[in-house]
Amino acid sequence: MSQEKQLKVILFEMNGETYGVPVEQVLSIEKVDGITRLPNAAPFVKGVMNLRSIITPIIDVRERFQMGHSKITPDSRIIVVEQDEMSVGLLVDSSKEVLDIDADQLEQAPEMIGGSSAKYLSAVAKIGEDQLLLLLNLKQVLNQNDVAALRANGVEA
Amino acid sequence: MDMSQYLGIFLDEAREHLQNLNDQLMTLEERSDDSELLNSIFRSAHTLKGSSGQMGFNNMMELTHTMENVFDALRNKKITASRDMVDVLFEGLDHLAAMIDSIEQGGSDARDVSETKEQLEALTGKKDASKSETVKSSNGGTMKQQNDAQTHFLKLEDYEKAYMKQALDQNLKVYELQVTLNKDCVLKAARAYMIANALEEEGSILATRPATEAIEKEEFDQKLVYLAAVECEGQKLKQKIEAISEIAAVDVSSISEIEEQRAPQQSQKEQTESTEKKRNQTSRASATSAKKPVAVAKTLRVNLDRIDQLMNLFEELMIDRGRLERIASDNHHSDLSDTVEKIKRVTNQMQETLLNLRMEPIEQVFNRFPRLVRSLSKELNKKVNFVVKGGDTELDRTVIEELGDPLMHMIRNSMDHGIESPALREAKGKNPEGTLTLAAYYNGNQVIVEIKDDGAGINREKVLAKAIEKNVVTEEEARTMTENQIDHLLFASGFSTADKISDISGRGVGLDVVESKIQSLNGTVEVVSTPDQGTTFTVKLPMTLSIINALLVQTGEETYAVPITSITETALKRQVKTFTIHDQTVMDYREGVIPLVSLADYFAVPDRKTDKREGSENSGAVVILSHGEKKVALTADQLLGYQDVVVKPLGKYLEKVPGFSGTTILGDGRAALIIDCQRLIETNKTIKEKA
Repeated sequence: MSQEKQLKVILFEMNGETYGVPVEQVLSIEKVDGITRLPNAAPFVKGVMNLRSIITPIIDVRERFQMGHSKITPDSRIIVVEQDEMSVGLLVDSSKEVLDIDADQLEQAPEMIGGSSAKYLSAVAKIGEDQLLLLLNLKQVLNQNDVAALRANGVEA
Repeated sequence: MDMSQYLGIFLDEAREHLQNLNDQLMTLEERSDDSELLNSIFRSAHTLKGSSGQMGFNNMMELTHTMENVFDALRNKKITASRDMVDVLFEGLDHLAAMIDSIEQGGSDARDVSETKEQLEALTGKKDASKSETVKSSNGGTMKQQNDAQTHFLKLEDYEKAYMKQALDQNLKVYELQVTLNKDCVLKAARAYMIANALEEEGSILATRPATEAIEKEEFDQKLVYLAAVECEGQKLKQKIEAISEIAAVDVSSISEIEEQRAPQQSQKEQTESTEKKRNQTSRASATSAKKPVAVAKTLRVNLDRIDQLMNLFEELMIDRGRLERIASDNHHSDLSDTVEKIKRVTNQMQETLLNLRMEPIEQVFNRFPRLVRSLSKELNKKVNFVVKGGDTELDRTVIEELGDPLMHMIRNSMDHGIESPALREAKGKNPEGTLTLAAYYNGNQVIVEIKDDGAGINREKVLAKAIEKNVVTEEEARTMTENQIDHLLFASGFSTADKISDISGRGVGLDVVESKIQSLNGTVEVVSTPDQGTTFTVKLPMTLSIINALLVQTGEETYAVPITSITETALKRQVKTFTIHDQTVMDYREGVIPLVSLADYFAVPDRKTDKREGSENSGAVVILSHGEKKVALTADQLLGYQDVVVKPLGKYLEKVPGFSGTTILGDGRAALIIDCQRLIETNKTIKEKA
C-alpha cells in the first residue's frame, strides 16, 4: 500500500464518520429503491435488490459494525462494491466525493476507532483539519466466516 | 506446442467419437457384415487415436490403436464379430471414457489397461507385430509430421487430392519430388524458394512437405517433398532442380506410380490417417457423409457463459419493455402503442430463440442406455428389446446433465424387478423377449420422459408388506392406501422389494434418490402399473430451468414466488376447515389432515398481523404444496396469479441462506424470492394421518 503513490477513494458517510473504499472496487452508486427483505439471512443483510438484472445483496454497514440500524433517508445510498467476484451493495448514510490520497498520508488503523473494530479497516488517513478518513477493508467486511462470531457478539452487546 | 487451448475441443470430440463407437458397437453384433458400419467404427477409432496422440495422451492413443486393429481386422473380414468380442471392445471404451473424464478433471490418461489390451490383441489372433512400430510412427507422425523427412510418400489432405485429381483430369503430369539439401546448406529457406520457383516455371505446386509456412521458417532438416503438376517430363524437373546449388539429391517419381506402389489396404489406411488427423473437428460429419452425403446442420460451439450473458441483457430489455408498455397505455399515444406492440412481438420471438440456444436433444442422455440394457440383460439372463423414442426432444442443457442418473435408476429397476425371466414370461404366455421403452415427448411446456416395461408390474402386496416391515407405513395406514399410493411407495427412502440384494438395484437407494433429483429439477415422477402387463414411470420436466411457471403469493407487503411444480391445488381460506392438534394448526384434506403453515410466520413477515389480523380466519388463500407423499398447506394473504418467471440464483454471498431456491425479477423491477418448497415441507413435521 505504501508503495502506491496515490489512491483514489470514494468517500461516504456513516454515523458522522467519513469512510472510503478504493474506487476500483466500486461498481456503481445507487439510490435506495426496492430492497426485498431476505428472511433467514444474517441481521445485517437488508435484503436483495435488482440492479440491472443482477440480484445484489444489500448489507447495512452500520449493523455489520454493530452500531445499530441504518435509517433510510433520501440521502441514503448503496455503494455497490466488488470483492472476490461477488458484488455486494453497502447501505450507507450518504455518498460524497472521490478523493486522491497520497500514500504517505495513510496510517495503520488504531485498535478501536469511531466505534468500528480495526479489523474492518485497512488504514486511516487525515484529511482536512480535524477529519479522519477510515478506509474499509472490504475483504473483512464481506467475510462470511466472521458472521457466526458476530452474531454471538451481538447478543452480548 | 501448447495444446491446452485445444483441450476443450479435444474432449468434446473425443466424447462424440466415444458415443459414436458405443452406438455402433451396439449394432455390430447384428450387422457384422455391414461394411458401412465397420468403416464408420474404424474411422471414429482412428480419429480418436490421431487426436489423442496429437494431444500427447499416449496411453489413450495406444489403447485406441489396439482397438482400431480389431476394427481393421473386422473390416477386412479377417475375423468376425462375436458377443465376447463386443464385450471386450466395450471394456476398452469404458477405459477410454474413464481416461477422458480424468483428463477433463485435470488428470492424465494414466490407467492400467493392460488386461483389456491383451484381450484385444488376442482377438486379432496375433500380438500385432507391427504394433510398436505403428504406434511409434503414428505418434511421431502426429507430433512431428511437419519435420518428418523420413516420410517416403506424401500423405495427402483431401483438398490436395482434389487438386491432384483436377490436374490429372487436365492431362497434366503429377510428380512427387523428394529433394535433399546438402547437410551444410546454410540458407535452406532460400534454396527451397529457388526450388519452388523452378517448379513453378514448369507448372504448379500442389503440395509440399513440410508446409510452406514451415519451409519459410526453415523448420525442416534436409529433406523437402513437393507434389507438382507440370506439362514437362520428370527428368526435366530433376535437371532443373539439380542445377540449383547445395542440392544433394533429387528423386522424382510419377504420382501414378506411387499409387500403384501403395498396397490398396495400406494406402487407404494411411490416407485416412493423415486426413482425419487434421480434420478431426468434422470427422463425424464427414465420416458419414463420405459415401452418401447427409444434410448436416452447421453448428458453432459457444461458451455457455456468453449465452447466459445474452439472457441477462435480454431480461433487462424485458423489464424496460414492461415499463414502456405502461407508459404507452398511460399516455394513449397510438404511434407509441403500435411501436411497443411491435417490440413486444419481436422480443417474444427473441425470448423463444434465446431459450432454444440452451436446448439440447435428450438423446445425449438416452444414448448411454442401450449399452446399460445390453449388459444388464446379459447379467440378469433376460431377453430385452430396448426401444428408444423421441431422442430429438429438446431440453435445457442443465436438465439434461442432471437427468442421466435418475433415468438409469429407473431403467435398472425395470430391468431387475419389472421384466421377468424368459422362462417365466413364456409360462405366462408372453413373448419371452421383454420390451423396455424409453420415450420422450413434449406436452405443452413440459417434456415427458417415459420408461415403460411389459413386465410383471408392481406386486402391491409385497410392496405393502415390505413397507410395513421397514416402518415406512403403519398397518393402519396401509389399509386405507390407494393403489397409486402403494405404487408410489417405491420412491420412499429405505425401501426395496428385491428378494436378494443384487448389483443392479435393490440396495434400497435409487428410486428415492430419483424422486428428489427430479424434484430438484422442478419436475415430478409418477409410476403406473398393471399386474402382468407392466410398469410405466413417467417423468415430467420443465423444458427449461431458467424460466419457470410460478404462483405469486402476497403476504403483507411481500411477494413470493411458488414453483408450480410443487403446487397440488389452491383454495380460499374460508373454504377449508382448520383446527388445532398439539399446538399445530392443521386442515382437513381429503381423507386426512395436513399441517397449515402461515407464510407470514414462516418468513416472519413484519407489520402484518396488526392490520390484517381482523378477519384473518376467513380472508386469505391456501396453497397445498406437495413433496412426494408429504403435503403442507401454505396460507398467504392473497394469490396474485401465475406467471413465467426467470430464475436467478441468490449468488455466492447469500448462498447459505436457507429457504429459497432462487430469486426472480417482477414486472415492476423488484426482486422476489422463490420459495424452496421442499425445505418448507420437510422442516415441517408431517402430522401422521389419523383416522
